[in-house]
Amino acid sequence: MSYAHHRRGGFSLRLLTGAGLVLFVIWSAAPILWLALSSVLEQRALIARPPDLSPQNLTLSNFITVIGSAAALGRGMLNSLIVALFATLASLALGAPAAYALARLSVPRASAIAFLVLATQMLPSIAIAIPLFLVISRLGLIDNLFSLGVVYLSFNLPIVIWILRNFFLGIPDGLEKAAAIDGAGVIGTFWHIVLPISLPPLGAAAVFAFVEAWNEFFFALILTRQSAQTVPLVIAAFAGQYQTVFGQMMAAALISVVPVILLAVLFRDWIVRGFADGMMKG
Amino acid sequence: MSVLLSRRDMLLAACAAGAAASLPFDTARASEALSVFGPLPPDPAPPGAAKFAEAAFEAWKKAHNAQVSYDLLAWPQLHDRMATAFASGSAPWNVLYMCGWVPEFAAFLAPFADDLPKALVDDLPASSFETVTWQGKRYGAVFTLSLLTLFYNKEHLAEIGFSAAPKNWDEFKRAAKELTRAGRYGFVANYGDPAGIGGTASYWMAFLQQAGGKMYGEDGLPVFKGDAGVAALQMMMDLMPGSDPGSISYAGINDATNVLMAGRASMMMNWPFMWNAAQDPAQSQIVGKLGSAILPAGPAGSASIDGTDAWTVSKTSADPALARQLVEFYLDADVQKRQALDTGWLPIRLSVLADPEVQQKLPNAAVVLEQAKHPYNSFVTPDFNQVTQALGTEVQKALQGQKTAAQAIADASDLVTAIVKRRG
Repeated sequence: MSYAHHRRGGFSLRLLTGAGLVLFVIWSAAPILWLALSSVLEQRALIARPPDLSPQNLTLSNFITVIGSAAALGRGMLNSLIVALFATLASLALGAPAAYALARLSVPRASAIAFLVLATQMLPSIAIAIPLFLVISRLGLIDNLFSLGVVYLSFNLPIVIWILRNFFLGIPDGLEKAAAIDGAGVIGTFWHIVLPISLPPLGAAAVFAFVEAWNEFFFALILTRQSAQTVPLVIAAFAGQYQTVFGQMMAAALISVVPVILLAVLFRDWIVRGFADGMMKG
Repeated sequence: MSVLLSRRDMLLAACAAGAAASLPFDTARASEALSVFGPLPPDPAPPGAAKFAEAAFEAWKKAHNAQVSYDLLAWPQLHDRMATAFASGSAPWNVLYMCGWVPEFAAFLAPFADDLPKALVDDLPASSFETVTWQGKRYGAVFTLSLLTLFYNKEHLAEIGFSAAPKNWDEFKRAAKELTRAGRYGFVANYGDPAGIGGTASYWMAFLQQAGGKMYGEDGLPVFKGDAGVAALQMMMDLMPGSDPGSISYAGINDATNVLMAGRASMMMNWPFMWNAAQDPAQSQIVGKLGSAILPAGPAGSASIDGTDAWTVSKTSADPALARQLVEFYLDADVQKRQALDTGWLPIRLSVLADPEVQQKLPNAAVVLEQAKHPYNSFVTPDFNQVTQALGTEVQKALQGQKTAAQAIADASDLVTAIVKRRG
C-alpha cells in the first residue's frame, strides 16, 4: 500500500468519523434545540404544519406566563431539588461503603449479593406501586418529601453500588497493602485512601442519582398531593384532557432542565471519567 | 386470542383486591373540611379552582361553615392516582371527579344522587345519569353537558357548495372526499389511542348507535356483532380516504383539534370545549369560521357519546350530607350559568342551556342540547378500559386495511365477550 493511498484512507476515515460525530451531535441535540425553540413560539405557530417559524411568531410570553403565574413551578423545583439532593447524598453515603465491602472485603458470595442488589431494579414500577403506597399511607407520609426521597433512594442505591463496585474492583491491591503497613484499618483505608481517588465515579454516580430523582414521574404522581409535587408533575399539568399548552409546557421544561444541565457541565470531566472507570474496570 | 395487561389494568386489579379490605383509616378521621379531587383548569374544574362563581363559592362555604380544599391534578393523571389511593384504602377525598369511571370505582362511592332535590334532578337530562349509574344505583351527577358533535370549517364547506353541515352518512362521506384537496383534508380524528372515552372504540360507539346498534344485551353480553356494528365500522373506513392520514396516529383530541384549528382539515367530531378554543386567535387560525352541528345521521338517526364529567361522593366521606350539598352547589343554576359564560364549559341544567345569554355566548350550546335529544350512551362498565382497548385495537386494524369491517367486529366481539365473562 502506497503512502499516498494510506494517507487518502486516513483522511476518508477521519471524514467519515467527523460526519458520524456531527450526525450524532445533531441527533442528540435536536430535541433540546426544539424544546428551546418551542418555548419561544406562539401556540398557533406550533400547531401549524409545518410549524411556522417566522420571526413574528417569536415571543417570550410563554416564559412570562409560566414564571408569573405558576408559583407551582418554583415550588416544584424546590421540592425536586430537596428530594433529589437527599436521594443523591444518601445513596452515596450508603452505596459507597456497601460497594467497597462487596468489592474489596471478604464478603461471602459477594458477586451473588451484588447481583441480587441489581435484581431489585428488575421489578417494574407498577408491581410495587400499591404495596409501596399502602406502607407510606399507613405511615402517614403521603405528600411528604422525605418519603419520596426514601423511595428514590431505594431505586438509586443499587445502581450506585454497581457503578462504585466496578470501580473499586479495579483499585490496585498495593494501595490497600501500603495503607495497612501504615496502620490503617478497613475504615481508615476506605476513608483516607479509597474515597479520595474515587471522586470521578462518585461524581458520576451522584449525577446519575440526581437526574433519576429529578426526572421521576410515576411515584411522584401517586405519593404526592399538592405540597410535595415535584417538577415533572408541574410540567405535566400543562397537558390537559382537551388542550396542551405546548409553548408554556416547553418553557417550564426548559427552566426545569437548567439545574441538570448546570450539573452536567460542572461535573462533565468526572462524569466521563467516572462512568468509564465504573463501567470498564473490574 | 390475547388481552394485554396495561398499567391501568394492573391498578384496577389491585383496586379490586383492595376493595375488600379498604378504608380503615380515613373513615375514623372526623373532619369538618371537605376535600375535593378533580382536574386542573382549563379542563372542567369546580368554582374556586377555575375562575368562575368565586364569590358564590365563598358565600356557600361561609353559609355552611365549611372549608373546602382542592386536590387538583392534570386530567391524564387523575385515574391512576385515584386507583392507587382506592386500592390502598387511603383515599382522602370527600368529593371526586369521575369521567366514565363510576362502574370501576362504584365500591368506593356513595349512591347519593337519589337524595338530590327533585327540582334539580328534573332540570337535568335523564340520560345524563346513565354513565354514573351502576347496578341500578346512581353514584354521581354530571355537571357539564359534554357530547361529541360535529365541528366544521364553514369556509371550506362553502367552497364545495355545502351551506350547512352534512346531515347524513352519505353527505358526510361525500363532503370529506370533496374537501380533501389543496393540501388539506376533509376530516380529522384521533384514532391513535384505542381505549377510553375519546379513544377509537368510543368513536365507533357513536357510529354504532347511529346505525341502530348497541353494545350489550340484557344479559350483559356483547350484541354488536351484527349489521349495525359492521356498518358503523364500514362508515369509519369509508371516511378514511377523505381523512388526514395522521388520524390513525393522533393519540389525543388535542392533536386532531390542532389540525382543524390550523385550517388543515375541514371537519371533526369533537367535544364542546372546541368552540372557545377555536375563537382564540393565539391558538386558532379559523377564528369566526367554525360551525357546529349534530353528528350526521346513520340509518337510525344521529347519536353521540357522553364525555361524562361528573361529581361523586366518596363512601368514606365523614360528612356525606355536606359533600352532597357541595355537589348541589356546583349544580346550582347561577353557578352553572357562570360556568358556561366564564369557562366555556356547557352547563348540564336544561334551564341554563336554554338561557338566551348562554346560547348567545356559546352558539354551540343549542347544538349540544339538540344532540342530547338523540342517544348518547358511552357504554361504561367496570372493565371499560379493557373492553375499549380490545375493541379499539380491532377498529384500528380495520381502519389501516388489515381486516375487513366484518372480520374486525367479529374478532372484537370475541375479545369483549371473554372480558365480560371474566368479570362474571
